[in-house]
Amino acid sequence: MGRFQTIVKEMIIKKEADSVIQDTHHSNIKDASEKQLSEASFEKTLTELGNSFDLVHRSFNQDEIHIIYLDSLVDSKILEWEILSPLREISFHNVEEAFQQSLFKRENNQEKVISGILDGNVSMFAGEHTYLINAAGFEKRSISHSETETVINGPHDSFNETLKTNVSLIRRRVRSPRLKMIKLSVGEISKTKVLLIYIEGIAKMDIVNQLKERIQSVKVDSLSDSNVLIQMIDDHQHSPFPQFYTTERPDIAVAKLYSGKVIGLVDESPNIFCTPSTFFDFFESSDDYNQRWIIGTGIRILRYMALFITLILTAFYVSICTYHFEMIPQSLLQSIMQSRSRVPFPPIVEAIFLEIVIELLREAGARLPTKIGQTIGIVGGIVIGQAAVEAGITSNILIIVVAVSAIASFIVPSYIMCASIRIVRFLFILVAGFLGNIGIFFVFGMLIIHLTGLTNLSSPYFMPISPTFFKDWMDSIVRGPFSKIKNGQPVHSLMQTDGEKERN
Amino acid sequence: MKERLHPFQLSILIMMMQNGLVLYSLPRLTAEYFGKNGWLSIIFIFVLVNINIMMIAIIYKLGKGRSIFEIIEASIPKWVMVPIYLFIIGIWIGIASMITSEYIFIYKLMFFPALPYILFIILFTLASFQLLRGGIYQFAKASVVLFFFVELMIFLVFYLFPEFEFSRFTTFFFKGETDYFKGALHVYSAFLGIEVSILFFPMVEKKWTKALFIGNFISMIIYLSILFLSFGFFSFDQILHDKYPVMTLFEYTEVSFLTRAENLCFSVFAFKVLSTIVIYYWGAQQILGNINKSIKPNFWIFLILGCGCILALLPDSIVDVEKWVERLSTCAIGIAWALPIFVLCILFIQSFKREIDHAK
Repeated sequence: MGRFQTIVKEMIIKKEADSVIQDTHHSNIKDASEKQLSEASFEKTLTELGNSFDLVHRSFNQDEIHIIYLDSLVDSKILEWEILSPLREISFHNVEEAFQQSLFKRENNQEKVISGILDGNVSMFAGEHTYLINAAGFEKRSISHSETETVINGPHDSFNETLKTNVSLIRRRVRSPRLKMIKLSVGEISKTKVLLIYIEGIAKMDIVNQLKERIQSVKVDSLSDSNVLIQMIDDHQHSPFPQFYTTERPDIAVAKLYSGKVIGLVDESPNIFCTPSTFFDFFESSDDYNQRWIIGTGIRILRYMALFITLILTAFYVSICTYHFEMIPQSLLQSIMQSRSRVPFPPIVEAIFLEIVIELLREAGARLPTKIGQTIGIVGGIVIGQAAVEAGITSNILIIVVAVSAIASFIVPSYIMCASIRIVRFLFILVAGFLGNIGIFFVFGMLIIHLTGLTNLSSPYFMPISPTFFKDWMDSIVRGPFSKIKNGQPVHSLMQTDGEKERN
Repeated sequence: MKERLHPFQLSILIMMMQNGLVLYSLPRLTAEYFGKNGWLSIIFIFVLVNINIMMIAIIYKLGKGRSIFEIIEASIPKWVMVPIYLFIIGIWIGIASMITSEYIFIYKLMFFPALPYILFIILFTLASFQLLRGGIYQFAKASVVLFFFVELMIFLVFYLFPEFEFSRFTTFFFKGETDYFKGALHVYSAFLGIEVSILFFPMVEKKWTKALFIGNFISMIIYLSILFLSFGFFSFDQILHDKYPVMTLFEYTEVSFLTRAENLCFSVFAFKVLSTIVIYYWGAQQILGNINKSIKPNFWIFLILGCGCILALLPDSIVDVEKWVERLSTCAIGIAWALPIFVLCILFIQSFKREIDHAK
């Protein structure tokens, strides 16, 4: 019995040994074939990039050297001076000496060669070796004024679609080795570059890491803009409010960096995003800082007033004219009733009608060229202002109310936030029409509950107000004098300790 | 757990969660039960409430931050406590739903007779759900912002100063037909809501107990100023015959583009009522969560809100609701005193036992 056992054991051990040998043999073959597969060659490159209108293939030195590149991504001057002219003169053996050391690198992996070509490199195949020579240069927009975020005083430059230019705009303003960058790529096909920038020592590293992880977890085929990316990495994707502050002004971006935030740049997008953002970031403009603090504060308070006017004014009119006549003073009652006497609709219908017309005008004006846009302005002004009242469709006072709330909504400096607020106020108007004042306050309460519950990368959205940090009010609710604004350092020397700031 | 309630947030939360709806009839109640210059009674009741919260503070200190469930269940088995827990839950859900329906009935009575009652219940339930789902931290954050809007209304009082006259006060104190005990219960109910803070222990920072006193003090100041103003604004008989004197008070406000702001005031007051309701629901949810820890909190929220909703639908008129609020408030005051005393007894017994063990 014992003998039988040893025989079986021996057999098993032998079998195992055999299988180990076989395995190593297998893996050797596999490695070799993989190596062969991944090794770059100009034939493979040509077939892979085949059917491209801008693909250029040239050969030199009796077909010993091949270069392949995409014409549309390569700067023709660099190509001529740095690559073509040396190639015409050199012999096969001293290829490496002929080019500037900084411009080329040896790369034998087929995939990397392809991605190099797609990044604007010229690939050169000389015998066994493959080189990537950087000659990137493509058409780009020059640095110009920002169309969406204009200021009266202060720098006027804005980001454009080229990542390199955008980084240079930031670099110029932060001359410090502490400015750190993390390069990521999003999009299975598009491989769009995303760059996270922060200042070491000021930014919180856990926010940087969290943002990095979140961006890495995005699984999409392509990414067209930073505004798309931030919607994918939001904490609360169903909220109508934008949670990441976006801007196309480098001065704002740098100010955010200095205040300890992390900014993100997406290639081919002129907008950068920054985090952690709060609701009140969207009401700041760099103009506030370029004026005396009293004026800056006044303007900021005006913006918050505008927020309330936008949200509540039309709704309040509807509610008072429908349910709460007793709230109108006697002197005002007469003029309101006179202007409403010819209107056959209830206030809510009238208000919604006019609000929709204004939204239509806004949307039409936003997409039209300036010259036709003027026509829209005149048509809108006359038709809505004059004709609607004379035709007895709306009342005079409602037009004033709706116009004031429309103007107030555009005082919010961020267009994205402005659009959110404009949509939300429709809810207020509807509820005011059905429930009166109590309805307005209910929606208002729900809005506050919603806003205070929002977070941006786990940092509270309604930050200096709730949770309350009084010292931060100097630079968010008002624009205090510079001696009162905490400079640079993120969240120290507060009423509460640092750890508490992490409360959600 | 990283998040802790900061004392500042807490004092506002405590101020917000006290049952403010009583404020609207408080001048009449004090006049009815305490007689002439009844407004002074609020100070005596304030002292009583302070004793009550002092007990809570002592429990926190002696219990070294342990939650009251841990303290109780260290000495008494859970199954003995379950009926008591259920009683507390029942009272708290009941009082929350009755406060909801009281608010809605007053609103219907004063401004909106045609409004569907059930719609309001749904609105309140939705808002409560949104607050409860986020937990106490989210609730505290929201209540800070809501507080600003509620307290803005106090500035309307300035419009009433020209009408205020000291000659309306008398030199008699607490004279007339009086019933101090009943009156004390009524006035005390204006401070109710604070007893739920006994469940806050695991969620607060160390020096939180001052927040209890500060929050309570702010409440008292507001009540006192409104009471004082009403006694100088109306004659004594007027107060006695007005169901909601504070509502009448605000009716007198007039700006050039707005009159009779009592409607606005009462609408904004919905935020305070909501806070009171939610804190009671939250308290009930915490106790239920302690009874059975394996069930998800969302289930309890649905159960509590469902019960609250159904209970709020039961009463037919404001008279009904007021009766119920009175009874439930009395029970809630009972709980507010009995629970801390009970826990304190347990703590003393525990420390006594520990001393004996040491001695051995």
